[in-house]
Amino acid sequence: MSNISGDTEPMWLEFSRRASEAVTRLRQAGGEGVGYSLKEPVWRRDKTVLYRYLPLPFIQAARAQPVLISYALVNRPYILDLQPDRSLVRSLLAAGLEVYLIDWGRPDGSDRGLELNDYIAGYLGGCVRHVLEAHGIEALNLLGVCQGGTLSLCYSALNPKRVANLVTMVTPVDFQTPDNLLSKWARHLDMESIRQTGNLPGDLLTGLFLSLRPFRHMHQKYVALLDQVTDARAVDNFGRVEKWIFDSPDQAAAAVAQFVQWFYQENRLVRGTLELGGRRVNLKRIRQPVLNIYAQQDHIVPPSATTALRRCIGSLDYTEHP
Amino acid sequence: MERTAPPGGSMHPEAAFAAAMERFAQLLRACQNESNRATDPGQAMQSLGTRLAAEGERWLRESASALAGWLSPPGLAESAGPWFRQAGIPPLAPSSPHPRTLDLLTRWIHLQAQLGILWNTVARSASEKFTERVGTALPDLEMRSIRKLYDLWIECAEEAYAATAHTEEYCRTQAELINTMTALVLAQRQHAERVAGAFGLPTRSEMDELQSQLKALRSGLHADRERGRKKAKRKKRGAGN
Repeated sequence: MSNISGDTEPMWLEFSRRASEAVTRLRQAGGEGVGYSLKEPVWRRDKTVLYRYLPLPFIQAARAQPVLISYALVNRPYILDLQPDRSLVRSLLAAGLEVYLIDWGRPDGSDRGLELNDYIAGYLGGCVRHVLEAHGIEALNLLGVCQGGTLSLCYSALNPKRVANLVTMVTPVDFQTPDNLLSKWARHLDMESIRQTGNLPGDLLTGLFLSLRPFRHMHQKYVALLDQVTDARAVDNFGRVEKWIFDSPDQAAAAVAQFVQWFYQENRLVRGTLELGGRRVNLKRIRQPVLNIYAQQDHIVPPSATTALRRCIGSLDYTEHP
Repeated sequence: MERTAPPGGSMHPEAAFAAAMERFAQLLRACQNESNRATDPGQAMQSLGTRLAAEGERWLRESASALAGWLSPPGLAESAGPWFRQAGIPPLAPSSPHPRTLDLLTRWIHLQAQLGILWNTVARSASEKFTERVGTALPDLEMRSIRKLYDLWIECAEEAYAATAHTEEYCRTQAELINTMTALVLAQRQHAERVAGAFGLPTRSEMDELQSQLKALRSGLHADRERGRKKAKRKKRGAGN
């Protein structure tokens, strides 16, 4: 680097050009729909809807047991089917699986009393029962993503006979590992008082997640986009993920308070002290094959939080895939 | 058959992008100014580090405004944040000096100042790291060089932030700030409930109670239906045998 204090006009012109191009493309990316694969609602209770994805045209018939996807409450599930070439749902369909997805909906004031057990025993349980009956089978494949994986673990421990295979993706299990900043921040919160104030706004959660790494997630990633403005596809991808990040539903007051208190503050799942609907959630009852997929650079669910699953479950058929 | 499109929250990526561009433009200006003034490049880089520290602290305050609903009590901040907007809570009137509310506001100011000190620590530490790593030469005033400098600054800032944000002091201060805010909201709500009660309107507590009764009723109804369904299934199986 040398000290040049000469004409700076080209630098400013380049910056303005790239920034305006990026913002134009971002707006265009926002105009397109998300959630590409065709699906139909097959069951609903309150705001929760169970969708069944239609088989892909080139797949003749489903070859295996159905898979039910349980996504997190804190984000929208369309990230799993963001675009044709970036779709977990499509990959599962292409593998010949019958795919179901739970959409928990967007809680409003009338849902503030919903508890975790309403989600697990009521909605998740209702979806499982529907799929089992629709296919005339005793057990299905359950795929839980992020917080949805934690809910799936609870369900599987309470209803082991209904789950043939369990797949967890970026799923927190031990909520108090040393590198878990979110957990440290949550440790001293007065959740009972927070519950009384009503549903937790989704925007607040988005802000909380972004502030775990504020310089990278609120600054650098946008500046890095300036390097890609000529690549329309890259900007479209970025725009879609951004829309998803900023699209967090409000959280039902009682459920989110229980989740923070029982999991983050008291770490009940790994301590074996979690009770739902009067029944203890014993992860040792999970004896079916388990595949645990996690991300190595995840700051919200650090690898240490998810790999703890190995020592907590009773399954002898456990595979980890980073 | 449905395809899903998100309605989107009140936060928008375009706004976040615009804010980040504004901050990047500030960095470009800072580099330009230092470059124009520089007689001693080493001193110029140190001066740039100091400027960036001040900017970094401001960025942190702005980032925290994303949590404004927790971190700013109504009536004190210009923007009350999503929580209050959603709750439709009116700002605290200055003429409502209930002792409990005043205590909470005092505590909130104290905690906010404490958090400000911690942000200042982050910014200073980031500046020190940056000055150590950047060397003494000013960058060429073109995008590629400035980007390198910017990425180095972000790396230093993120490291400094992580070192502080993981401390017990930071976690406790932030949590207590949120708890104090929550207590303020609940104090206001109590006041609102008294007013509602005086006008014969249903209060939040009464609504919660009704909601809870309704939920229990629905749950019982659902359990009855399930029992009936299982009974019918057993009967059908029995008839089949």
